[in-house]
Amino acid sequence: MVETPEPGFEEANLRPAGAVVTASDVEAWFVHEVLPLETALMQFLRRNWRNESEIADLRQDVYVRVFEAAQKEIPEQPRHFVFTTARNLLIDRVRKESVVPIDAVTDLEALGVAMEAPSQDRSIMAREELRKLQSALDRLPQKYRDVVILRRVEGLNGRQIALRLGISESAVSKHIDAGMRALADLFYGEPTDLRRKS
Amino acid sequence: MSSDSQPEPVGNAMSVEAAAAAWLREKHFESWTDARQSVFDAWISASSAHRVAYIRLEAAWAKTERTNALYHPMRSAAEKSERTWTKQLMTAAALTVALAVSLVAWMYPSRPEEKVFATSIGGRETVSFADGSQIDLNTNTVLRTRISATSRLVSLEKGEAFFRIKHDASHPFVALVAGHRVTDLGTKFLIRNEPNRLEVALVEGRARFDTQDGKARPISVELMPGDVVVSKNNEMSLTRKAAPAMARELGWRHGVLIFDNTKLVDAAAEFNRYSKTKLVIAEPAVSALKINGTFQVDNLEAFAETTQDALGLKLEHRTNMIVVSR
Repeated sequence: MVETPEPGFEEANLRPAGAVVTASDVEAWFVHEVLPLETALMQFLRRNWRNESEIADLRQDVYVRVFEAAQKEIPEQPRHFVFTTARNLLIDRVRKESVVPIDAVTDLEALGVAMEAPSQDRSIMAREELRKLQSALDRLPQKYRDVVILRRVEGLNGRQIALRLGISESAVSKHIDAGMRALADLFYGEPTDLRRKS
Repeated sequence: MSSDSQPEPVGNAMSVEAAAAAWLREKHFESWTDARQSVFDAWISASSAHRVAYIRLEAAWAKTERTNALYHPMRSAAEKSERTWTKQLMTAAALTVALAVSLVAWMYPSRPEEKVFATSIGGRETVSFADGSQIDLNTNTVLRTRISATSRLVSLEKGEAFFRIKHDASHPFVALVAGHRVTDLGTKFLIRNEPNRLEVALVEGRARFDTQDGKARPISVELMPGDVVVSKNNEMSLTRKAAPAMARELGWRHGVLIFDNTKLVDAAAEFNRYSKTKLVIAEPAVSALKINGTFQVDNLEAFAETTQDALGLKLEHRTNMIVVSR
């Protein structure tokens, strides 16, 4: 018996050469596939680069390279692609700057970075997301947390938050800006599970 | 792999991130205009570094969308642990105290405004609105309000509330509870929302009650004074309560619990709603004893001593409970 593929099967699964990847595709891919790797990425960068003050710039450069590559074609293995990009970036830096603050540009496999994340049941993920949100809000400094709650729960805008908290609008702006940045680090950057006490 | 990116100067990432945060604030916390959108478009298109920094911050902000689920205990209770539950309730209560104590404007904003009011165990608050409407919140209650240009919508997430609503046909008042809706037609009414039991009692005026839980055939009834809808174990009934019984049920608004030939076990359950120290009836025979009288809602101890004196029962004080037995 000869196996025949479903009609249209091949067409549906092949990405035509030069296919246009829409901007929103890339952004969605970046948010769902790349940002969740940030904790591991930051660990990788810190382990392989001594100068802590350059880590944020390195992360930015990795993201820019990954994002721009994805605009041409979305990589099929995000994890592998992100860490290969990071490793290449570190090698480039070492060569260009002729300073070698790097201990070793480690082999990817030696990093112990699992190449695929375990799949999870949707309801578990939803609950997990909520737990992570609670955890992030718990660890957010209170003045930042207040602005998030007042916005999300009560729908207050910046000016109303200032009135409510009895502080100036510029102070609220500072809290919001710092809060947004801290939230991104809490959600993506910090290895929360490693820091949690068992 | 190719890259179009130019090497960025050291420290660039932090300043890009600061700029991205300012854009995010403007977009999500302040007023946003087409003119600003154009400036924003130019900024984000200028460099992939701008774009990834903004996407990252906005994705994190999007993750806080369900904050309102965390700070509204009833909405997704199954998803939370006891610890966060308590904490959320406390936070909601803390946010609310300042509001509930003072008058809150009930104007009709052009965009819907949502607020949350909550009381802790033993707490009682009155929320007053500019149109003269008032809502009394009993112990351990969470109420959400959503006021828009065309409607006044509230949702009793848990607990008990007494509504005195100024009727305004152009701004209908609707109370949602457990999927059902009560529409004001010039009304004073009570809603009590407990696990497995829901009660809507009309005290004065008229109101319409519609079931909307999607399980049973929809029911729509116009309630008259004294009508009480009780939904228990998925069964719904309509009964009538005489004025004195209704008045007793509303005693909490004056800080008292009024019992009239009430079973001791039911009276204890009422007191327990207001107190972290629980009154526990140890024997079935004791449960069925009847009690009469008016008691301060915040004085469980006095009630317990009354049962001791009047019914000859024994009290045993343990951690967080008083055990009543013969």
